[in-house]
Amino acid sequence: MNGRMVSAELLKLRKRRGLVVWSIVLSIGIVTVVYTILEILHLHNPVKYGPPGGIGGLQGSIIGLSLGGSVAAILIGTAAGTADVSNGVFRDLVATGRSRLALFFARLPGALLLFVPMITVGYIVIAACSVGLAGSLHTPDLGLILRGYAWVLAVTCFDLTLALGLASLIGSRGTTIGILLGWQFLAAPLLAQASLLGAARQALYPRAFDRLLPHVLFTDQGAPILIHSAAVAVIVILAWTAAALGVGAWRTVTRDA
Amino acid sequence: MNGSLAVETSALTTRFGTRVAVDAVDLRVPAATAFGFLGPNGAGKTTLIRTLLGLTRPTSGSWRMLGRPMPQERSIALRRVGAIVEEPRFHPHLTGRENLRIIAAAREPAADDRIPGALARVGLTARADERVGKYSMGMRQRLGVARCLLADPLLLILDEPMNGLDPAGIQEFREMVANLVQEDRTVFLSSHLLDEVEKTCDQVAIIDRGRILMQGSVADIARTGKPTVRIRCGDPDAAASVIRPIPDVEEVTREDGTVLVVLRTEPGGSSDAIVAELNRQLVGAAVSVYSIEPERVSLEERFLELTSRLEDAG
Repeated sequence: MNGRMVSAELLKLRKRRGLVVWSIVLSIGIVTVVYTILEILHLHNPVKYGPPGGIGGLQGSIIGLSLGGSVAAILIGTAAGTADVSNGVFRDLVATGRSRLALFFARLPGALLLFVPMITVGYIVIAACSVGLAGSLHTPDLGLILRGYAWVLAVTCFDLTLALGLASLIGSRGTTIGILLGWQFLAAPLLAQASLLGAARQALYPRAFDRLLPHVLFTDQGAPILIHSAAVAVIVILAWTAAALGVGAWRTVTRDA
Repeated sequence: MNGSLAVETSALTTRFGTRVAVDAVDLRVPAATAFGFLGPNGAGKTTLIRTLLGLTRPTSGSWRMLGRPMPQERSIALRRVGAIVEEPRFHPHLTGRENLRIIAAAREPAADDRIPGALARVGLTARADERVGKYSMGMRQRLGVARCLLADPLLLILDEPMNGLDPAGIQEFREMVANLVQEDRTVFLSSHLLDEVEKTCDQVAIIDRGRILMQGSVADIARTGKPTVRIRCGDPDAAASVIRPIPDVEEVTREDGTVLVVLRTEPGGSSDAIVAELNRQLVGAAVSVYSIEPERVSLEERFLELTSRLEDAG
């Protein structure tokens, strides 16, 4: 892998207009629109609608950004994982003599180079709004804002990595998107509630991320705390990351080009 | 590379389950030649190309590319190999130039600098900044060749490169292959267009059902067919009657007012004595002979003869 290969991966992704537009909408557009609407409501009727900013505003918007950002990450990760195979270019890349592992591992930084600026801008929007539109509410301090950014970045980049690995394994973008969205928003929350699974539920990565969310920002009161140790949460996330990259790399190496 | 082999295989075999796609192939592709690789559909051409490039794992056998043992030195050998396998495919949302950048990035840094030259060589400079999704099949073929040139290749492997080219494009392609060979590059060209292979290549191999039936120079392969002469004379019917009983004559047919005579000789043997005997017999029978000319056996005829023979045996 080298910088030119990473740059080539970025080129493939950033030239997909639909992908870029939808990713911007999901990672920047939604939070911008939501804050705009809340501020208009507040200005229109300050008694009924409080200021949208403050720590409470940051809480809600971090969760919203992580959800929208995760979908954007899945779109970008699956595109990066399947573009060469679905366009029939993979065999031409393999025929250059370049190692298949190098071809696979160039995809991740290429995809991150497209995604991280978007999610960062999205976070800057919510951080600015949580401070600038706080009115009389307590504003989040810089430390909390930075911890919140690190968490959003970790959640969404993890989703991108998972999507890239799984898409490289499956080879179909649509199927991978369906599986990941179904897992993320349906299967994983249901499994987290299934008490008969006991401690096995600690292996669910969404719960591991819940554990790592700065305590003051945790809002999901209904969700059970499954992982009490931050170290266990980090191990769960690293294990999922390694598994996703492992299966993606394995399939890229063994795939008939 | 002159005098050496660009590709050399030894008992190379590729099976898919019980089906043998490439059957103990011993292929020798001399360097700095235009080498035609002929075979009917499903003969194993593309499988052999994919095996040579390491895209498909062989079941047994060994091979060398540009003198390097494969797959042990695959990455070194393929640095100087450009290949189009099956139809050339690209990212349709990228321009021609951007698609070349993608492949150049997987090669050494100098490949980036070769992009303008490669585009110019295939005549795509003016259209290089259009999306490939808008390209015609012929333009994609050209872009595929440009992609091969990024390797500054000693060996180009082109699978059906003339598909989609118009007559002018085919002519340009033929000239380009000749120029590449003049630059001491080897062009390995798989095609079902026998006439084009005959015009473009100086060496050829014929494959059918995974087996190499014959390989060598185009002229030699055509010559190994049965020698045939065409006789123009005053009375073709009488000539046919006179010639038919001659022992060294295998077949006599009438065609367009002439007589076509297939001679019975050893492969590669001289037919001069038989032709002289034909002439003697005709003159003796008072048939006016205007000309006796050797009928050139085309590669196509030889190809059909070889492949149909295999079909009969099967």
